[in-house]
Amino acid sequence: MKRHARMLAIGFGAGAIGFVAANPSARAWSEPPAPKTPEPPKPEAKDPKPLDRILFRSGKVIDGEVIEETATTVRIKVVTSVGLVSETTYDSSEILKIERGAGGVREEKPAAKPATPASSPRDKKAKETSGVVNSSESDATKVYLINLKHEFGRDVSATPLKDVMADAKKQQPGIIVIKLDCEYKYMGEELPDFVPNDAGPAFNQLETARQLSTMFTDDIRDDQDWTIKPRVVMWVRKALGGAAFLPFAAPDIYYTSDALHGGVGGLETIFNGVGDKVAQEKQYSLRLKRAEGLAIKGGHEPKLVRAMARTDYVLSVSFEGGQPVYHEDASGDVLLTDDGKDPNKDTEQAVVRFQGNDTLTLNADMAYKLGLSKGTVDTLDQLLFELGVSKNASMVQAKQDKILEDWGKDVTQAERDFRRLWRQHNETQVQGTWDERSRARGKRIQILKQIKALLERFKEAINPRAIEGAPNDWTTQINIMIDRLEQEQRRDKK
Amino acid sequence: MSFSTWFVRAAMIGVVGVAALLATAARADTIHLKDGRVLQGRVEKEEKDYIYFVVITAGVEQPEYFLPEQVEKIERSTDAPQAKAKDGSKPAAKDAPGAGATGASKTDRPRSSTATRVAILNFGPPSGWQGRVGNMVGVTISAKAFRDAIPLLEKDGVQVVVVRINSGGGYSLEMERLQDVFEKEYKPKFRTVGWVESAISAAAMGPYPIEEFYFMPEGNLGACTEFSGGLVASKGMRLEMVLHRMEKASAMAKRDPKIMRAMQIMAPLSASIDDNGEVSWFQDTSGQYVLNPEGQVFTINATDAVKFKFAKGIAATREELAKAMGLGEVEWVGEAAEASINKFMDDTDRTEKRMVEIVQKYLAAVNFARSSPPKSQERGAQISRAEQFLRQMQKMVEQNENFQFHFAGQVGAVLDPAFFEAQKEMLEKLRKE
Repeated sequence: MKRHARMLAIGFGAGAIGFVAANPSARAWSEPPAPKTPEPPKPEAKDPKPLDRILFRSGKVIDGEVIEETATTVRIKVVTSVGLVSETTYDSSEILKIERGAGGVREEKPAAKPATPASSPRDKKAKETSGVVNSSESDATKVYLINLKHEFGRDVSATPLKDVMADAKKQQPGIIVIKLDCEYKYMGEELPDFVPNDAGPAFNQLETARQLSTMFTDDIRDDQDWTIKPRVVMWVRKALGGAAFLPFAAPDIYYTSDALHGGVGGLETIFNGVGDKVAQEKQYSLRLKRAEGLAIKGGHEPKLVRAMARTDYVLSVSFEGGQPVYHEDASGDVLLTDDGKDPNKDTEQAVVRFQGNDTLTLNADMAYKLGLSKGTVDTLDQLLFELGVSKNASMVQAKQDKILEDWGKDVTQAERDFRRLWRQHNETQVQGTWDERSRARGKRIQILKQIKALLERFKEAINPRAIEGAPNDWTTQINIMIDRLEQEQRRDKK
Repeated sequence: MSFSTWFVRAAMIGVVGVAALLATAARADTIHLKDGRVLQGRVEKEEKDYIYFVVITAGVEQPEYFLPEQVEKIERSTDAPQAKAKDGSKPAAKDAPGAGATGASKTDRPRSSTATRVAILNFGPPSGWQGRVGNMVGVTISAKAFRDAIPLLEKDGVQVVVVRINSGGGYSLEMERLQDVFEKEYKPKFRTVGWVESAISAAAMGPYPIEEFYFMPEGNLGACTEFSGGLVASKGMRLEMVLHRMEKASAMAKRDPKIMRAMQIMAPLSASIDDNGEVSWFQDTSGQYVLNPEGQVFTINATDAVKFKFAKGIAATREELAKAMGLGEVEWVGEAAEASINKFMDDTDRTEKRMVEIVQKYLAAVNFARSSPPKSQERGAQISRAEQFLRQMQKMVEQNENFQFHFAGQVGAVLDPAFFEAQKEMLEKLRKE
């Protein structure tokens, strides 16, 4: 089985002709040997067994071979024309209908050859069709991949994303894939992935998530320059902390098999010790509903956001006809979160093993069961397959990676420059002769203007800890400092 | 969010031209399923064995297949396809800052005899403005700006005013003024509608007398607990006053006061829906659905707002809103009124950002003047600068009367006319010393 998954991972792409099976023998495919190199498909039978056609509720149609059916799942084998094999298990609830033998038969084509060294023509062909190079075919679906990495709110923020979306707009892709694999970090401080409760910083970044979500949704919808309205797909590997809110905004979410999504728990404690309980609850309520709004916008269940955020929220789920039915108590078949109070409070042993249930951190399996995730895919090829475009996808390699990388570097440089300039400012003593004093004031003003320009450009991302204060406060103070220096200069006589 | 659909469809059913897709954008079909569900959307393909239907909910499109035996009936719309302009000209981006939500309407163009004239006014900057200006009630959002817009709306023959709300709250004082404007001045003149992106605290309470609410999919309304300083909640008489005020606002809106009470204090709230779809509210957890548990403050989201008839519908775009409001032909007008309110937001935001600096510069100039030799040229120059800053401060405060106390912390006094008189006298005295 692993072999199949691996083959799928390396092979599906733009050149795969269709989802047609090569071999009618289920046994031969279900228990394959495990050679070091992928085994070629068997030569085609003269009188091949017709394939099954699987109609999904989502509209997806696959021609393949149903190799296993249970009350809740259907396992389907698909073989592409280049001999790549995939066996995937689907939830029965996703499937509208199986039409036995209605999927036609595999086209008469030579079987694919085993993988050969990289320089071979076969490999070249595979690369051309793998979905990671540009295709010149006019009917290809352009796919624009945005990798969101490093620190959310810093490396991933509005300015670079605005530039990325402008770049994407030039390409007019049919699909935008946003891969979230951010560090679990806030203001430079990284947390271990198992920490479930980081609501304070996470909800501080909620507005960044909302801002970015607008770019991926409303801005595309309302901007007539997007002549093709792309399908936006979120692909989650690590969305912990503030990044956790972003995926909810898109209807299509996929997870990697090792995905983690959450880390926003403990909302009901972030104002502990400040003011009155009722005013604290007001703050929790408005934050939570703004976050839930993103889920509703994406067509997802807002209760999942609530379960991620509030430790005292109990949520369980049952499945009826494969569809999740939520219960805001423990009466469902699967307890997603308990109330987190003794004796239900998660132990440290459970937390570090990702086994806690005081707040919800989703993994790929649970997200898929709940219908939040449409599938679990570890490679881009798998994702394109799931999106139904592996036949004709064309990856757009424009400026997106460079824009994001440059921004991250520039922010770091800006923080360094700030410290250097501030040090220079403080070291510039206004003393000596009138000329020396005048020169010193002029230099100070010049430095302050440079700092102001830096802050203006990077204020959304710069770490306040690195500059010992909020950028906006600094800007006001710098204006006042410049004014004082100018007045001192006016008053200073030779 | 129609962005997600075109390529789902293209991927599933083959090659479909972009122009053809655009041409079908305005169709609206209804599919009645045998399980009782009624779905709005678009029949994309109908085959012997299946029906491929794109379900459209609040702008979100979700393709779904149905078997013929699942379908009771299909109602097809007769709406004309919305074809793209042949000359390729672009319609105005409806949510663009400054461009106005009213698109290309002009106040002097001939009026259609059948179209409903609808204006959209921003109660706070829409999220499409990307945080360019602040959204505080009493600072960038004011009753005065809405009152000043009325003559412009009337001149434009506006029949329906949509108040698009996106704000995290602000001053209670302004909330009361806004209630009066909407209740006494807007509602008698226009069909007044609230369209909620985010209405928190005073931003929920100010427009609360509006009876007809629609939510954006991400919309939320509530969290109306009054507090000051470091989350110190109002108590005693003041709390009773604001609770009473909102009971009256609930009556104006014909809403059950229990809903707002749960938004103001930690009062539980539940509801039941009977067989006729009528909703009953309970200030405890005895109802069929618990919306606000004990010990929490209530904010309602879009799905609950519609489910419990707090809102009449969910609409992501103005076209969806018009449809949800039951309007047929619509003319989007009211540009001047919208521009006037947007300008107020821009101007007051700029003032808010600059006031701290002007006050600091004023205080520095006064200090410089005091430390200069009496009757010296330098003292005179610094006093002139101080007078200039003082005039700027006064002008800024005149923009919005709330600035008198909004900036009080900067100078340690309310910036009322008496303050400015006293400062002028002080500077004059300093000049003569």
